[in-house]
Amino acid sequence: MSLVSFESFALVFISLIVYYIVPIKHRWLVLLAGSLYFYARSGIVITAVMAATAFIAYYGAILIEKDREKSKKILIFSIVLILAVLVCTKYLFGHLISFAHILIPIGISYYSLSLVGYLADVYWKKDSAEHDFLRWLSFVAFFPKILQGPISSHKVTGRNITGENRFVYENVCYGLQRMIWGLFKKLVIADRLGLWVSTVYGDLEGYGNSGAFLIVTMFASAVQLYMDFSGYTDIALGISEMFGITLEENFERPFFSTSAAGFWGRWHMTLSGWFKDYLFLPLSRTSAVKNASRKMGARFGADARKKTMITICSAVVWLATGIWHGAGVNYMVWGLYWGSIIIFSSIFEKQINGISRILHINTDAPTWKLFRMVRTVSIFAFGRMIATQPSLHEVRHIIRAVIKEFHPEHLSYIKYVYLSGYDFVMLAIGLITVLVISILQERGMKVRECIATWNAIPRWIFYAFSLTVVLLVGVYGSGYDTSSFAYQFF
Amino acid sequence: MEPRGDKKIKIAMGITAVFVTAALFVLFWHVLWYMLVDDSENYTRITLHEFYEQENIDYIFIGASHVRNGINPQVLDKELDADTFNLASSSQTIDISFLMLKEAVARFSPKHVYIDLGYRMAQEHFNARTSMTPSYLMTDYMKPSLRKTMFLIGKSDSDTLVNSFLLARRNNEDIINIEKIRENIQKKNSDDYKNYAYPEHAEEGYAGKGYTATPLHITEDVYCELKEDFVSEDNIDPAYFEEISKIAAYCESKNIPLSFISLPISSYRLLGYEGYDGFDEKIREAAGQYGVSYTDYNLLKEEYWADDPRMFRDSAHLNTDGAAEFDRLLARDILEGLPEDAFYGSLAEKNSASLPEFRGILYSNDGDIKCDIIQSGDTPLEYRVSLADGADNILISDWDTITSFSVPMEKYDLPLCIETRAGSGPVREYTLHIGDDVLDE
Repeated sequence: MSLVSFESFALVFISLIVYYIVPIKHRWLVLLAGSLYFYARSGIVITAVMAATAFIAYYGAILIEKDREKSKKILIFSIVLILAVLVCTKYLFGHLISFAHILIPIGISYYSLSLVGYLADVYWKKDSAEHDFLRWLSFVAFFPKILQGPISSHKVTGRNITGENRFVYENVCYGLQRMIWGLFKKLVIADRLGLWVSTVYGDLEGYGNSGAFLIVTMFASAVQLYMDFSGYTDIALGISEMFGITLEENFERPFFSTSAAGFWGRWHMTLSGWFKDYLFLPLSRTSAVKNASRKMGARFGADARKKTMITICSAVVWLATGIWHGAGVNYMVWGLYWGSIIIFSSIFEKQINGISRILHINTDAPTWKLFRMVRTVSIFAFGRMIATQPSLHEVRHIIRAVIKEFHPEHLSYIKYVYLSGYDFVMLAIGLITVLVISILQERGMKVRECIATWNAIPRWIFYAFSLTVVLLVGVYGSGYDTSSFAYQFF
Repeated sequence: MEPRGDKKIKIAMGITAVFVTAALFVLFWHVLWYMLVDDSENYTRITLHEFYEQENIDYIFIGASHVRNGINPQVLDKELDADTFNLASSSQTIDISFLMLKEAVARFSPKHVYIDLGYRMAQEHFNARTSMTPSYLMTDYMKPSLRKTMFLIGKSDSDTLVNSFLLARRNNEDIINIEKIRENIQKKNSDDYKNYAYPEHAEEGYAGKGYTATPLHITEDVYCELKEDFVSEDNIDPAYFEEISKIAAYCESKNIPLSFISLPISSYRLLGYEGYDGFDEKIREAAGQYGVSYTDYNLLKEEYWADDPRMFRDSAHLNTDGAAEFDRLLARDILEGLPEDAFYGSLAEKNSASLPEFRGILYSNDGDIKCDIIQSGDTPLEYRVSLADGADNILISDWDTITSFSVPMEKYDLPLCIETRAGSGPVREYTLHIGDDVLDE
């Protein structure tokens, strides 16, 4: 079951009514029932796998808290078990068994990280173990986030999900607004761009002789992913907000980033945050990394010590990030690609700044900032191309076309991507709308709060109009698969 | 703690917000419908308007387009001295027929209901299972009701649900077509539209009470059409029979006399597809199972209904003359009943009693174009088939008793010359044209 379907919207609507009718103490049970129904619609077996994995973390955390002496062993054992389920279902079954799709629990990559983070937090005494399994399950299986995140931390949102949430009119309004905004990004923009991207990448024989058009498609693919994934996140956060639950933000206008590292501080923030908290920092405290850094520091100075630590930890984190996205070689290459860029820019930060000074570049100028933003988006778009291709063969094919077959006149191929003039007009309007809103948000404007200050009638007109626009011009219905999200298979 | 008064005001505001927003949403979609949907030529819009305006309906006829072209209530009103109404629509499926039956019974007390169950209806059901368009022809103009809502929810899948309720969504691409929007608004503002005037065309015109008249008839005495998928006795959808049983049970519960009928279509079409008798027998069995009569007017003997191509606009639809003649016969059957021996027992029996005559060809895309020869009677005719390629003629068959032949794909648009003779009888010549529709196959 997808989050964008009539069935799931009906589930949200019914759950919302029941949620606020039942006594406040038992409201979390409504969410648990709704979440289990939502998940079970995708398969009973995978629901059992999800519940069993949740139980490992639940019981492991209790044991960690109970027996502090053996807590490290229990932690490692529990994490190994959780990762074993992830590796077996997603990586091994997915490649070895033809009917694996019925065994791969949807959202397993997301909730597995959440569970590992919880165990680590309990071990480090940053969080306390949940002793009520049903409450714990309602956190793990919370349906807006289970398919595609955000990768929630129990210490941040766990008790919010199972807590006593009163009906707040503003929450429902804000949540609805955000949900419509997410649908707008997904149905009006992402799914249109999706048609374009899948047409081109699906026929590299036909489009492979046009480097210019492939470059434009790379950017289209990057924007598609952002609209799709951030659209999903908006829908998930909007639904949660209607229930009075605040999930972690996952995006903060990443295309305004001026550096690769800055980009990952704004893109899929819960994933990069997770890797920072639960892999980068613990790794940097290990004796092996400390020793290596110390040796480099003794030889080349204090700066080298810091850079060695960053290089080792970043390399491991980015390799892990690549593998988390998928088992293919191209995902590992993608991870190394990002890792190299971030490590390089971190190590040579001073030298890069020095070059800017030599060239008398005014780094505060808006044009320089714009250039850096375009550069960052370009890096992202290229990385996205690596990740979306079925193998490195296609990646090589595209790179060769970009270098050797760059024919600007081939930009006219845009006529053949199954989008009509109407679709391009809708795309342009959609993209301009998102751009304007993003600029306003970047300047500190809180758009939803601003709308909330409007008088009732204009506000209600706005709600009805927004929903009408999404339903009128969104891409869905016969021949379109709106239920699929670009990031749900990671 | 929030003061109680404030809380009440907030709740009232919340409820008002929901209702006002919902009302505005409906208003926006109505405006969009006004701008984007051109239904000025939709005859069902006028049919249902007329239907709701009726004071009384005695006899109701329901079915697909061949009923719409075949039942002229003006003729029947006069012959039966009663109020009749034709609730048929293009590609109508049996479930829509049932919906229309319920809509009629909810408003009137019909003396008798006639529902067409002939081959065309089963064919429509077979073809239209995945499309909601045939339903929309009627539901778009039905008055709001729980019956209509439940039908649309039940029949729409997740892909079509929005289109079923938010009509403008179907034409969303026109939102940037200012010229089209202006044109639509002009049409909707016209007196003709507001007064439900009958749109008139040379080929076909709405003639009132659900009847669509067409003066056209085929130019040759033979047909040349694309072969369609055929519903045989083996692949009739079980859901089709389920609907039949529901209709029968419904009419019984409401105490409304019901008859199933099959309006005439050309013997060319019936002979062109094997298994008509098996299909007809299954329908007869199903009707009999529920105690409802089934009359197949295709089996009428020549003295009652001659299979004359001039009575048809195409192989499946009667023209104005054909409808008038058939309706007089139907009225006679309703009032007096036709004698039992007016009908053959089967199409095979009817065909055996017929003279050998060439009826036409059914073509299909088989790499090349495969043409099946359709003829009546048991004695095979001899055929000479050629393609007229400028001054040259490409001979395909030279006086042979063939049942099919092939035309090279690249030559499909050349005139097809067919000469026929029975033994030493006179030679008859026909010139046929294979349609471009063969390329879509």
